Amino acid sequence: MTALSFHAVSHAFGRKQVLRDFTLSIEPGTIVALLGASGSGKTTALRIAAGLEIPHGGEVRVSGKRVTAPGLFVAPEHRDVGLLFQDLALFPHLDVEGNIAFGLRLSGTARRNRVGELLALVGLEGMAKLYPHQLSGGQQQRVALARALAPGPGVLLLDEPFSSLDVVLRQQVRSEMVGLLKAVGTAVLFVTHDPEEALYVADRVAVMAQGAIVQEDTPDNIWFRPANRFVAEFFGDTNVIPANVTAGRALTSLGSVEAHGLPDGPADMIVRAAGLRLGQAGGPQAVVRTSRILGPSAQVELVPRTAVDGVSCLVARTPISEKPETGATVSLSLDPRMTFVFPRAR
Amino acid sequence: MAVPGDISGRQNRQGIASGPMAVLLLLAILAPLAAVLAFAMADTGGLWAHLRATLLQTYVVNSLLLVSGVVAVAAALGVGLAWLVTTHDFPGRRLLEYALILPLAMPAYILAYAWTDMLQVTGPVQELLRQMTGWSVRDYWFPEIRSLGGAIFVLSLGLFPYLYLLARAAFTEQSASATEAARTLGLSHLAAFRRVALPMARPAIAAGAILVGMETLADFGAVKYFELEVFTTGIYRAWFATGNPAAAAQLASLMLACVLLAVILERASRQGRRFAPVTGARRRPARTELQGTRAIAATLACSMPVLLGFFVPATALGAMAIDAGDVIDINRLQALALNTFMLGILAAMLLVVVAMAMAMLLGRRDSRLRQLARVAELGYATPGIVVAIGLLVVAGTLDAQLRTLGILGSTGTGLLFSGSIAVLLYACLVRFFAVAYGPLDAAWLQMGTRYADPARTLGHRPASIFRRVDLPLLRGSMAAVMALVFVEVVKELPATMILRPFNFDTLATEAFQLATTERLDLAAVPALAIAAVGLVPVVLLCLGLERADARLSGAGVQAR
Repeated sequence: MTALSFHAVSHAFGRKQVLRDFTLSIEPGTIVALLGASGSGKTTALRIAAGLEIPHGGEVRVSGKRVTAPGLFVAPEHRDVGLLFQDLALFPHLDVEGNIAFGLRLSGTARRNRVGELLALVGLEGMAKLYPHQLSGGQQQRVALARALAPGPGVLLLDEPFSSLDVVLRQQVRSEMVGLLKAVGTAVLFVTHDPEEALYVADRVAVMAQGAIVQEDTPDNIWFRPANRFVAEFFGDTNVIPANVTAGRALTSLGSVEAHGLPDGPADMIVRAAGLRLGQAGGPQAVVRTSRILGPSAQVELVPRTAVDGVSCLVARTPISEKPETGATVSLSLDPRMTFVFPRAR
Repeated sequence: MAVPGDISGRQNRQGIASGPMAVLLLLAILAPLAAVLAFAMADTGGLWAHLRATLLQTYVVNSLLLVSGVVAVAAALGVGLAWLVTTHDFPGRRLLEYALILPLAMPAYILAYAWTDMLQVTGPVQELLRQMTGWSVRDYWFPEIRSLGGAIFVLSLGLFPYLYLLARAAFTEQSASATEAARTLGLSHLAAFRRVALPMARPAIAAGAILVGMETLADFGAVKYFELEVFTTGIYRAWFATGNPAAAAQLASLMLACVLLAVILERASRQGRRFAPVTGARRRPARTELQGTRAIAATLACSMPVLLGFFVPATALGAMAIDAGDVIDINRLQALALNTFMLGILAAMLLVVVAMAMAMLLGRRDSRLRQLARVAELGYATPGIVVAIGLLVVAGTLDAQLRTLGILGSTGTGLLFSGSIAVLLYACLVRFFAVAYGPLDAAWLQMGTRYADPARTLGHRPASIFRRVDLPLLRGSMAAVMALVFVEVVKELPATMILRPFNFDTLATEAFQLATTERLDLAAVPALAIAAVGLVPVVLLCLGLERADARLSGAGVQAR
């Protein structure tokens, strides 16, 4: 049974349409990332699932049960939904134990045991009596997760759960939490604006734009087979090269790739920075203008010797072990798995 | 029923429309003020013209003189001293900086009793003068304390700390670089104050001046004791002495108009309060260290208002209390203290409950209606006597209604509401609603849906959330608000005096009655008790200021 599903949900704030025909299902045990820029409506979708916002139209089901539909609204406290808030919102007047036990309908030993279980799960044994302000950022994060998981919700919603953490802590907490969520086996819908995070954490990624889902697929398919130009460009540095389609192949001076289903004529080739290969010989030549370290790879700006179909500057990403020197001359070729062709944008 | 939108604003889903309930509550709080206006309008007997021809002019002139005198003296004192303590250093400055707030503990009427005792013909000052010169009573002229000048003297002493506090905050908030820039551009120390610091502080000073003016206009105890013919005493006389309720209501309406004007002016002056540094670290302006006679003069200038506004009157009251030792009726005092305490506690509880209810009815977010609800804070700016008149009208009307309905029979007084403790509490609600609602609503809004949303997704209904999350988090604000309301009620005089039930006296009404019947010595003990209660929030304010200052100077670089 589907853990959470939206069907044709629409919502507006005043005259601003924030969700339109929003449809998405989350299967039990899977982590789905809702990825979009700020203002794309992703947090609103989350609040609608939790019952904190009543949509203008459409239907929401939790564990197969209708919770929001025209004329029907189940209050948040009666839904089988857990929500981890962006700012965590731990209750400052309650200790760790009080926070975790807040949503439990147990008492006495049963309650203590459940809290103990959750503390062990998130690795905070012995901290039951501490107050939120006495905990580090990562520990607060884990308390908030334990609190949301405590009632055993059918689906867990996470609203930008790592945005309040600094970069170093974020990566650590993120991998911890993915392991934890997988171990618990709860269905998870999490909202993020960070493409890298979505691809890393989720089993499936739903990319949102202007209140609607533009593609929903596995991280691999989202990365290697974007359904449209928006998704292809959403994940950062790309090169746009004018191409010419003849008989199902798109031609540029960098090479040609398949262009299924596109009519003959002009089109745009989108090449991910990582899809632009740098070699020693063969193919068009380019001079390295800048070569900088960016995380575990190198970001390279290139000036082609002779302009590539009118494009005078290209960007590539290489493993750091292959980082070229500034001023070096390299040859360019395409990785067809990271090269996509779409109709010419107007 | 599911109406699209954010559910957090809607507390009750049982069909109680919280918006209209909030409006009803708002109307109930404003009703007595509206009643004053309505009652004044209803009059057709040409009284208005009569009033205008005779006494009105006196009231207007006297009130104007009083208000402008007090504002001028308080502004000179408050702004001058604030500048002295924020930009200079001299012996005793650290202590005096906070001690200058102490006069706030003394209601003006208590200052009036104490200073009258000091300066009257038989008082210690004139006696000392006669001993030193050998003159007899008729040989010399001495300023009469029970006069307009005397009222300006005691009211300025009691109210200047408001201006001092606001000006001091403004000077402290100013970045040192503004003044330093002026100095590098060739302005002298004084010129920099006049051309930079003072204009930057002007909005705060204007707000303080309006506050002091309103408090002066609202004062009843001091001016009544001095027998001055101003608005408040005029209203009292019209209602009680000449038995002319319509005239009283008309005067009260005029005062209400003044209050409205002042509130609007105050809002406007706050609109412009954007002179504070926008960016960058704030540095405390460097202090100039004063030497020699200048240092002594500064210390004296700062200690005089503290002495005259607090320590001298407190000592005078203490001496009177000791002198009157034998005649003091301890049982009577106990009963007074108990009455005062009971009234204060009841009012504090009522106000916390009503203010909290209003905040909750308005939801967890800011809204147009919430902005509108601020009108209910008007009562705090309204003189106690005007509120009292409004409640007399409301209670009288209600009783009359009950009589015509036959509910109040021919037995008894025929009065249910008039002269009951309920009406007195209602007056406290109208008068001090702002004291409770301002801080509580701010705390409530600041909390917003931050904790209510998670609590709901964790399976709690709104009532349970209120008990388990909101209440524990707001406990501190509620306690503070109750303390503030308690102190205000203990100090309040005119409304309590007019509306109290028969034979129900508080410390304030007893002190007033004894003072006006020339038993100042007996008035001293209740007066001291009121001052002691009033001291509590003032001391807390001092400590809070000290802590804030320590934080500011700790964070900034102390430049010299």
